Amino acid sequence: MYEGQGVSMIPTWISVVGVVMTVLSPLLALGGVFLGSYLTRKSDRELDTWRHREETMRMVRWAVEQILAGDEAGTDAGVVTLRSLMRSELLQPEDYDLVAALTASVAIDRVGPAAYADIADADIEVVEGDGEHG
Amino acid sequence: MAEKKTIRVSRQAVELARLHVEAARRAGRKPEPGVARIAGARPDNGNGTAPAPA
Repeated sequence: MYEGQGVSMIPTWISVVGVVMTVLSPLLALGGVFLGSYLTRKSDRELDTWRHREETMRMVRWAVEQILAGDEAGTDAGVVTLRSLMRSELLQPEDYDLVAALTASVAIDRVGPAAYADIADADIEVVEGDGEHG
Repeated sequence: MAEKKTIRVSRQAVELARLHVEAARRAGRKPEPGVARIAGARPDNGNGTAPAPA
C-alpha cells in the first residue's frame, strides 16, 4: 500500500534493537574503560606491594648480615633495623617467626651454650654488662 | 644465705633477646624462656630493677 510513496517498512523489533544499541553502546564503552582502569590500578597496587616486599627483604638480609658479622655497631644497626621494620609493619606477620628464630639463635650463640644452660636455672641472676658472656 | 650467682651478658645479647621477645609476641608465640630471661636482664648499675621486655 506504500508502494510509490518512498516509505520503507522497518520491523518494530529492529527499531527497538537499534535504539537500545544506540543507548547501550556508549555505556558499554564507559564500562569497559572503568573495568580497564580498575584492572590497571589493581595490577599497579600488586606490583607496588611486591616492590615494597622486595626492598623490605633486602633490608632484612642486610640487617641479618650486620648482626652475623658480630661487631657491636653492626649488631646494633641490625637490631634497630629489624625492630623498625617490624614496628612499621613493613614486615609481614609471617616474617615475625623468622626474626624471632634468628634473634634467639644469635642471642644464644652470643651468650654461649654453657652460659645459656645456666640461665635456664631459676637461681641465676642475669645482668646486662660487658661481661664474660656474649 | 648463699649469694645468688650472676651471669653477665653483653648489651648486644640483651638487645637481640628483647627483639626475639617482641617478634615472638607479634608472631603469637611464647618466647624462648631462656632468651626471655636474657631480655629481662637487669642493668649492671648496682641495684637497678630488671627492665620490662620490649
